[in-house]
Amino acid sequence: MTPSRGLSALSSPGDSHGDDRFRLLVDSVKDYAIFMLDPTGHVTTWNPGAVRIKGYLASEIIGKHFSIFYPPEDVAAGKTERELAIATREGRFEEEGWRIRKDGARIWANVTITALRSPVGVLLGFAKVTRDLTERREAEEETRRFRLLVESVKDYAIFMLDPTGHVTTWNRGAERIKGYSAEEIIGKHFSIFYPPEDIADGKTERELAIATREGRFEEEGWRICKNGERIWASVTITALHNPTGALIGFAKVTRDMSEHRRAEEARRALAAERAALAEKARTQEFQERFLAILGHDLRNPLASIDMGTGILRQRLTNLTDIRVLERMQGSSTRMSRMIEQILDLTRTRLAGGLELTPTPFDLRDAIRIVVEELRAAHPSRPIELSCPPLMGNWDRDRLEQVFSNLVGNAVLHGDPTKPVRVQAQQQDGEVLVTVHNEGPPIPPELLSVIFNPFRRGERDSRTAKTSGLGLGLYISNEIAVAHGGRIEVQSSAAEGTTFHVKLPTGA
Amino acid sequence: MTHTVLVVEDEQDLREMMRDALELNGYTVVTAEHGQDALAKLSDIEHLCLVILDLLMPVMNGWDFVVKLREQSALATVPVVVHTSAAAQAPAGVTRVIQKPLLFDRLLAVVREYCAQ
Repeated sequence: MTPSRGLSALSSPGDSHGDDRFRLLVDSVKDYAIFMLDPTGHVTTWNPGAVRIKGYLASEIIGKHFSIFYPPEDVAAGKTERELAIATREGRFEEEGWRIRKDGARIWANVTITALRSPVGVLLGFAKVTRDLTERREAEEETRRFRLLVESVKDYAIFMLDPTGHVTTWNRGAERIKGYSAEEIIGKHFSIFYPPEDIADGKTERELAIATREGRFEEEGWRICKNGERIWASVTITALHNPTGALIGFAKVTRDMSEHRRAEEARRALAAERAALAEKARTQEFQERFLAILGHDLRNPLASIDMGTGILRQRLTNLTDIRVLERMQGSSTRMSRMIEQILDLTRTRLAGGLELTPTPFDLRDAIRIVVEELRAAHPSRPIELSCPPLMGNWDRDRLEQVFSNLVGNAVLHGDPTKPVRVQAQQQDGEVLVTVHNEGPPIPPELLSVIFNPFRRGERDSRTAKTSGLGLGLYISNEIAVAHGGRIEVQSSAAEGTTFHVKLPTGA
Repeated sequence: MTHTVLVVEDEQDLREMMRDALELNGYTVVTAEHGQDALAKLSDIEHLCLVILDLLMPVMNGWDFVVKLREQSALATVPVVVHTSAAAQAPAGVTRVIQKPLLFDRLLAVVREYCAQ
C-alpha cells in the first residue's frame, strides 16, 4: 500500500485534483499529526504536524509499526492491537493517553484511529490523527491544583461573584468564616453578607462599581454571618475580565479580623489607660512635691516663732501681754499641726506609705511625756495613767503622735468633770493601750468613718473644737497600721468612748 | 555640775531661739552653724549631755557629723537628737529622730530627758 492509494480513499474516487488539494491540506497542518497505517499497523504516510508532534522525519518512520509511539507498558499489555481491532470492528477508536516522542518525552495526546475501507468494504488501513494536548493538560492540571488550593484555604473566604454580584464559587474558608455551605449560598446575591444599613445605603452596588472602574475595591468593615453575628472583616473585591476585556465577574477575598480588631482595641484601651495613669502620676507627683516643699519650707520659721513665743511666755508678767502671746502660740501650734497632718496625708498616699524609724524603747516613757504635756496644757483636766514598763521596737516619735492625738481628743471631747483614763498593758504578744473618756458618745454615722481622712459631718460637731483638718485619727490609724497594729473604737452613752491601740512588740 | 547641750543648726534665727529657750531654762548651750563648726567646738565642752542636730547644713552635714562624732571614743555614746523633715533618712547611730518643726515645749521635754538643769 502506498500513501497515494491510502489518501485517495479519503477523497472521492477518480478525482485526482481533489486528491492533490487534500494532500496539500494535510501537509500544511502543523497542529495535528495526520498519518496512515496499513492494516497491520505500519506507518505509510507522515505529515509536518506528525514531524512536529512525534519528532520523527517521514524517512525515519515510514514502514515502522505504530507501537513505537506507545509507552512500553501499553505495548506489553497489547494496547496497540486492541485499538486497531476496535477501529476495525467499530470503524473508529478515540482516546486521550500518553504517547512517546522520538526524544523519549511523554506527551498527552488525543488520538483518533479511523478504519479505511474500499468501496467494497476491504480494509485498506487506518487514518490516525493525533493532537498534542500536553499543554492543555498541564494548564488544566494547574487550574485543578489552584482550585484545590483555593478550596482548601481556611483562613480566607475566597469566592467569586458574577458581574451582577451573585455568588458563583465558595471555598472552605468562606464556609468557616461566613457559616454558609456552598449549596446554601451559590446563586445568592453577596449583599446577604452586609448589615442592613449598608445595603440600604447602596454600599454593595458602590463597591462593585468601584471594583469595575478601578479594578479593585478594598476595605475593612462589618459583615454579617449566617448566624447573625457581626464580624470585622478585611475585604478585597477584584474585577475579573476575559482576554477580550469583558467583565466576567469578581473575585472576593475576605478575612475575619474580629480577633485582630479586639486585640487592637484592647491595646488602644491599655495605652489610653497607661497614659491616664501616667498623667495621674504626674499630677500626684506635683501635688506631693508641692506639699512636701511647702511643709518643709514652713517648718523652720514656724519652729522659730514657737520657740520665741515659748521664751516670751516664760519671761512676761503683764497679763495682757501673756494673753496675746498665748494666742500667738496657740495659732502657731495649730498651724504646725495642720502642716504635719497634710504632710502625713501626703506620705500615706505615697507608694511606700508612712516610713518608720523603729528603735527599742519603753513605751511608758513615751506615753508619760504625752500625758505630762497635756496635763501642762490642761491643768484642770485630770488624766489618769496606768502603765507598766513596756519594751518594744517602734517609731517613738510616731507613737507619741498617736497618743497625743488620742489623749488630746479625749481631753477635748470628754466630760470635763470626769478623768481621762490611759491604760497600757501587754496582752497576747502585743501591747494594748486604751484611752478612755466619759461624756456624749460619737454619733454612729461618724463612728463607721472615723478613721477616714477629711470626714464629712464632723466639721460642725467635733472638729469645730479642734480647728483641725479631720486628719488626726486617720493618720494615727495609719501609724498603727504601719507598725503592724490597728486602732479600734467603742463608743456609747453608758460606757463612754474608748480607743484601743494594739501594737505588736517587735514591729 | 552643769551639762552642756550642743545645738547644731545652720538657720540663725532658729539656732539663737533654741539657745535662748534652753538658757532661759537653766541649761548651758553651745551653738554651731554646721557639722565642722560643731566638731571644732567639741573639745571646749566639758560635759556634753546632748547634741541637737539639723541634717541639711552647708560645709558638713548632719550625717557626716554623726560619723565623726562617733569616732571619738569619749563621745561614742552621747545622745544625738535629730530634727528633720524626712525621718526615714536619719543617719544610723542617732538616739532620737524628731519631725520638724521642733517646738518650744518639745525641745524642753526632750532636753529634760537627757540633761540635768
